Amino acid sequence: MIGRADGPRVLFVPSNGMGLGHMTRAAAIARRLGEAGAMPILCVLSPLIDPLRRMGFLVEHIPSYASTPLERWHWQRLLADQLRHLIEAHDVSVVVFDGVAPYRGVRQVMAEEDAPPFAWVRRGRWRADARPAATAAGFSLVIEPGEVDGAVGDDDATAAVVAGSSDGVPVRGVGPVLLHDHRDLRTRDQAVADLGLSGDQRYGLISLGTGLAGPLAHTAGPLVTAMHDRGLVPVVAASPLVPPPTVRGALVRQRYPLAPSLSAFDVAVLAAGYNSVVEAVACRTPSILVPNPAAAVDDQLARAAGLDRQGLAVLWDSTGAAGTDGGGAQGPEAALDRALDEGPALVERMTARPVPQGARRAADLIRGLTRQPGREPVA
Amino acid sequence: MSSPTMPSAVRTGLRTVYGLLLAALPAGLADRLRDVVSRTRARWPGLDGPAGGRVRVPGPLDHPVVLVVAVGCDPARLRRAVDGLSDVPVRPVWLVDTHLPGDMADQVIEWLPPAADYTRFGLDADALRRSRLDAVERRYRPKRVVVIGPEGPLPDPVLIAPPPS
Repeated sequence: MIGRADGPRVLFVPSNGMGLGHMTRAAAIARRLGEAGAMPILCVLSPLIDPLRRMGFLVEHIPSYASTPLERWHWQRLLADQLRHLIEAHDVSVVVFDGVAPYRGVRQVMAEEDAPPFAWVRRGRWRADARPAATAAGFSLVIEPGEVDGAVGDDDATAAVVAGSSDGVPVRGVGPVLLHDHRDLRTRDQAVADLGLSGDQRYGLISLGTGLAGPLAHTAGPLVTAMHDRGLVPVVAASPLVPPPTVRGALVRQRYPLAPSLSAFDVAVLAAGYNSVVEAVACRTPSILVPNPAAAVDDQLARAAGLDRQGLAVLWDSTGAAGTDGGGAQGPEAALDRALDEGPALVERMTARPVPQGARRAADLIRGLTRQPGREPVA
Repeated sequence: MSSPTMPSAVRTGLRTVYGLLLAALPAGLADRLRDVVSRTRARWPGLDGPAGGRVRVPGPLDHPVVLVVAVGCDPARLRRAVDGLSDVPVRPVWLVDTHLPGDMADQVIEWLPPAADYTRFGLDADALRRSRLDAVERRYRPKRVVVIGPEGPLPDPVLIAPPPS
């Protein structure tokens, strides 16, 4: 059970429909708020409810736009109405939105006179060609989760880092936000058993997120072949939100969350989204990062290239956008060989780069908002 | 932050002008205008119209909205209930508290936590579920509310369809 009913109630509204990133970050911060005596309530838009309930969260739900036949206008009304209801029914002290751009329904409730303070957890590292971020006006605080290459974020609690301001709203950087702490991670034997794998084989993970059924679908077949050629059993991680895909020659696992079991794998091929990358580095898993070109806002190529340069992962740009210097000309074979050959060195460098837990600092900042009388931007 | 509002006729007129401008302007200027408008709408959401009011369930307007409170129903039973109403001239809204089916995007389905989720935190499950039911009724304003449980007969299509008014 995460949280205490007599603590301040904090309602999290991550913007997930089919992906898991925003929800996982929200759960990470909510968990630390619960540990600090608050009462987090996760209001998810995704149908992935049961794993969060099993973790001990109180979960509420608003159907995502894609999961209802409602017209967009009426879906925004539903969102605003349900949000109002939850704020009132649970006597919520702070609402935390995690997403790229706050929905109109969220903004409408935020603009109402009796609304509690709203905080916006806004992942950094936007693509240069992404459309300008929606305004932060109306929020009391923006929190930017940091990256593992240190480009964004600062976990120094004493510094109370003001990374800047956005529309007059303070932006606070925190360290990388992780759902799990080191104590949650499983040993290889435990992880292999948890995933229903045999202990006498070597495994390679293929986790391409929503890219598996989209722009990275072409990579799965060559990766499976390349792994087999190198004595690895490929295991495809698929979203629990969709029917399990069939990938010839590979095992398929639908496990959420997967991060505690990463030790089962000799190497992981991951879409270069925020959560996968910080989890892989925190778990010290030798990884090949594949930027998803369909990520319209998240600069996955920059994230993967930055970690490659620092010797913390291997970039495989399957679309060739990075050019020959950035791994664009490589095929999966070369990337796999590099990750396997350099595996011990990658692990050594990741070990020397401990990943601070930014979720705790983010929780502290939100806890601070619960003590604030008004909902003006924090000083 | 208070948000100014705007009469519906003005909104409609501005949308028309906005569309014409976007079509007429060169790409760079149109992008800039789009950004300014999106920032303005984000800053003052009230300009976009009222945030309240009934949520319209898609379907013919002469088909009444029926709220089916399907507490404790597993997805298979929910599916049977949905299929049973497919030919009935109603627009159903489903309120469920069990595993959400992922393959019913053509239905309006709302989920509320099982009572045990509230009670384990020491919360008043009865009051919270009652207030949620009230909120859903206000949201969709159904002509009829039907309660089904994990067992027993499913809604009788003949009985569930309200008589023509």
